[in-house]
This record gives sequence, C-alpha cells and structure tokens, in this order.
Amino acid sequence: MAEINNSTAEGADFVDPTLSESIVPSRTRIIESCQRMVANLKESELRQKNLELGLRPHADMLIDKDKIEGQRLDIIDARDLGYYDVVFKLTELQYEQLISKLNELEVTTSEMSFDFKDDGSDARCAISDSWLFELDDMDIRIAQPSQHKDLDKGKQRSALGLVEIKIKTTEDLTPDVIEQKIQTAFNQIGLEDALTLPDEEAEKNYKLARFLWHHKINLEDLTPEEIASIDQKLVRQEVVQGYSTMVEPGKHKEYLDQTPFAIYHAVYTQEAIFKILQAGGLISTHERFRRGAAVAGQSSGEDLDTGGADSVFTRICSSNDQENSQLYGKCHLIFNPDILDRTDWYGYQEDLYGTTSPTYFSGRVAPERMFERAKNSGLSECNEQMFRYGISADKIIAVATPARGGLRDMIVGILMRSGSENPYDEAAELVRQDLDTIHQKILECGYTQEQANDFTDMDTRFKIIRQLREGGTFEINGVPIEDFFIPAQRVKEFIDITKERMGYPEESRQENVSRDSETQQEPLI
Amino acid sequence: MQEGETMPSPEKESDVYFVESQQDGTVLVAMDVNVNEQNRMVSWFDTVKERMMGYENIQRDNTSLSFTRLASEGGGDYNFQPMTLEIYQEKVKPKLLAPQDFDNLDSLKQAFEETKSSAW
Repeated sequence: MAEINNSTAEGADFVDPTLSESIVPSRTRIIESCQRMVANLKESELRQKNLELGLRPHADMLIDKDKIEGQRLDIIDARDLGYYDVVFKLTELQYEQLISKLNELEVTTSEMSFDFKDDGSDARCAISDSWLFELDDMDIRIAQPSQHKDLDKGKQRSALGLVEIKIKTTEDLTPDVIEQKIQTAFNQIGLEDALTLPDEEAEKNYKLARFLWHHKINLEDLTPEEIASIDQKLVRQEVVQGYSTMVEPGKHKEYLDQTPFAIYHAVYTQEAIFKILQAGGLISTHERFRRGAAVAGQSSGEDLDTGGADSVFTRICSSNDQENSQLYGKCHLIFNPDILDRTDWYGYQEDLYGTTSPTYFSGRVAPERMFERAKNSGLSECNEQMFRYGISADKIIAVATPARGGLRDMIVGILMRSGSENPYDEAAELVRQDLDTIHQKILECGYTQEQANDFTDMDTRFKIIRQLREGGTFEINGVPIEDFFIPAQRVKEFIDITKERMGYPEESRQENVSRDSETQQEPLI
Repeated sequence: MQEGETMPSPEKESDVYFVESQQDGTVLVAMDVNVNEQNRMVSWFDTVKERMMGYENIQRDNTSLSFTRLASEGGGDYNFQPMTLEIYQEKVKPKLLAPQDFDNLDSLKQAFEETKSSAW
C-alpha cells in the first residue's frame, strides 16, 4: 500500500505523472466511463421525479479489481450544497488495512453526516466519526464508525468501509476533471491503482466471490467445471437505476421448482407507496439519506447500526406456510420473483433487522436452504431477505391493500336507504367493482360526487386509485391501476397474485412442456 | 383483544409504544402493534420497517404487552408500554437520528406517526 499523505489543506498534486503515463490506455477508458457517468447523471429519466422527492441525482461507475465493494462508485450531484459527492465502500480487507495505517498516523477526525434540506434550510444528521483529509478543492472522509461519542449508537455497521469524497464546485464537472479528482483522492488513501475498469480476470474473480458469498459455499466445495461455469452464469445488470450487481438470470425458477411463493414488503401509508413509485423503487435508508432525502428525525436509525440500512427488506411466504395466515392492516408490495436472480441479497429465517454483524451473519440462510425449508416445512412469517441498495419499481407486480369492511358496511347503509332488496350481496359485489361503477351507484342513490369520494376514500385501495387517476396515472408497469392495487391480506392470496401475474409454477411450466411435446408430435402437414 | 386487531388505544392511552428488551438492542418504538394468536406472532412498525416476532408466552392488558420470543428465534423478553413524554426524554430521544422536543403527547405521537410516510 502506498504511503498515506497526512498533510491537510495543502492541495498538493498527488498524481504521480509517471504512473499516469503508464496507464494511458486505461485512463482513456476510465474517462470514457466517466463520460457515461456524467451523461447518466444529467439525463436520468428519474432525475426530475427524484428531485421533487428531495433525492439528488446520482450515477454509478464500474472501477477497480478487488479493493472497492461491488467494483463500483457512486457520484451524487449535491451542487445545491456546493459539491459533488463521490461515495463508495472499501472491501473489508482493504478497510482494515487502511484503518491500521490511519491509526498509526495523527489524522484529523471529523463527523460524517447526511446533508439534506429541512423546510428549505440546510440540515445534517451525523452518522459516524471519520478520518478527514482536506485538500484545496475536496474533502475526503473515511468512516470511523466505532468512535462516535455523541450518538449512543455503538458500532454503526452501515458506515463500515464508507469513503466519501466531496468535490467542491457548483460548476458542471467534465469527465476528465472527475477522473483527475478521483485519482488524486485515491492516491491519498492508498488506492492508486483502483481507478481502472475491471478487466476480464477481475470480473471473473468478482463473479466467483459474489457466487460463493450469496450461496454461502466454500471454493473447495466446487468442482473446476462448476467454477468455470460461474463466469458464464452471472452477468452484471443495472437492477435499480444507478446501481448494478451480478445476476444469475433464471435462478428464481429453481426456487419455484421447490414451491410456489410470493415475495413482499409492508408499507404503512399510501404516501409511502407514491414515493416509492416516484423514486423508481424501494431504496435503502442509507441510500435515501445519502442522496439528500430528509431524515425523519423521529426514526430510530437502528438499521444504520445493524447494517440493515444498506438494504431494503422483504419477506417470503410459500404455499407450505399457513396459507390463510393474514397480514393485517397495511399495504404490501408484491415483487416479481425474478429479483431473486440477484446475487446481492441475504436472508434470515427470523427477524434480525438485517444485521450484518458477523455473529449473526454467519447464520444467514443460503437461498437453496431457504426454499428447501419452504418446501418441506414452510417458512416462519418472520423471515427476512435483504436486497442491497434497493428494488426497482418495475419489479412490483401488484400492491395488496387491506380489505376492510368499513366501505362495504357504508354501502349497505346507502343501499338500504335507497330501498335495495338485497343490500348485503349487492354491497359485497360493488366493493369488488371498479371505482367508476361504485361511484355511479352512490350517485344513483342521490349522493354528490364529493360524498361518493368520501365514501370510497374509506377504502385504502379506492383512495389510492382515485388519487392516482386525478394525477393522470391510469396504469403502472403496464397494468391498469384497478388491477395493480388488489384487496388481499392472506398469504395464499399473495401467492395466487404472483402465480397469476407471472404464470408460474409447475403446472404452467408443465403445461408448456406438454404443449411443446404435442407440437413436436404433430404431423408436419 | 381479538386476533388480528391492533392493540386498543383507550382514551388518554398511547398508540405509540416504547419497546424494551434486555436481549435485543434493535427495538425502541412501536406503532400499529398487532398480535396474531393463531400464528403466535407479534408485529409492529418501528419507525423504519415492519418487525415481526414469534412468541412463546404473552401477557397483555389494554395498555401494555410483554412477550417471550420463541427460543428458535433467539429468545428474549420484550416489553411494550405506552409512550410518555418522560419515557421519550429519558429512553427514546437519545437513540433517535435527529430528535425533536415536544411539550405534549399528541404532538409527540404525531411526529412518530409521520415516520410511516418517511419509511419508503
């Protein structure tokens, strides 16, 4: 590891010109990559929607071989605060090496924080202590999570390995300037050779490491053929806007072969659902705060401590669980099962708040074991699966809304007063209809449109549908909103919705096989 | 309380709870507490996400609840009591990300309620 320069505020040019000359071809490719990153930063389809939510635009870039987690760094456009924010996490080994070096030196320390707007004013929320290198035009912070004295939070696992480079400017950054700044910062913290694109070998090694981590197996458990096949199996995909990871396409079908299941996430208000859709997906606490979302001050922040804040949380229910088990009182996002193709998720059989503490993490359940258990004995409702960074909104196949009786009872009353002969059956049928039909009936009974809205707003589903329609949204992910939001609160219903939307499991695939067989047996003429 | 119902909120009692466990430092605040007797599960919203735990034993009255978590989930005793300004100041506020001060319980409860829309 290169010597760490402990000078502060001197702004020396730390780039070794010899080194720069020796990596010219690589540097060209990196600048091209920076160009793409800058283009993504400016042209993201979600940019405006994100800004409306207080989320600053961001883009990521692939770099490095083995020192930076996920072989990627993020750049956030925080020019409203006067800087661009380059953020990444070091791998555990690299972080430990850097910490041991920093501990030997007398490096300035400073707070690392989330910076956001609160009612238009600049606000900040400390997340950990950090080592600080101040250069003329940028600050480099390396998280020092266990040292924070004021927060009463112990060791904040979400900050482990975190490095933040604040490039001070309010101007548009050009790709070559970004490259120079990052290289300068990297030189400062012993990452001189990290600003390169991952070569074929690095990519291959990363796939292998990711595969072993995800499936919780040891290298020696694999045959040379199996090891060789991993390179072919895994591909890098952008799974959420601005975040890419290794994916094994089709892997979820192996889990479906074990048992039908649904994967879901609980949401407590319709405002939260709208924000998720507007943001382009469910985004981890850490990522949202880092990109400037207002920190909900009354939030406990315990997920930052456990490390769960780096991920979004889901649960899985399978057909061998108690199928009539009810999930009360809130909405649930139901996801496309193909999110399980990702290799950046981990799971527990119980609610452990997504901890990454080694004590518990070693007991995480490999996906294969999870679905074996789902097949053989069913899963505990408390199980949890954590997906790094987030889940894209286009992976939401439906939103299950609580089916409450309030609206039905109200409609019964309306129908009785209007002389209906069979108000109970008629009301039960009406609440299953679309919003226009139910409104029409209420209007026919002599009520105003405003009153009709008030009645149907008693039901979460109808309230959401009405608000979306008024905002000009009539379908989501190609599904009419009346079908996207479904009254459902039983495990069995979640699985049925998933089956219906995705066309799984065995019966559909077996049908396909049968059809294929039939096709092959058909005479050619 | 019937299965599937949230904990009742009698007049002048809180529907925001302080949660304490000697064995589990990840619990602090609970809203929308739900007891599912059929599956022997307790679930709640904790200002960030849904928590859900299986229980072996449970005791409850109209305002408080305590349970022993299933041994297969690691065990531990959990106690839920209505949030008060005193409990907030002493035990909760020091652990929040960016806590506010409150001079009445209603505004305190409202601030916690708003975390539901921030949890996305």
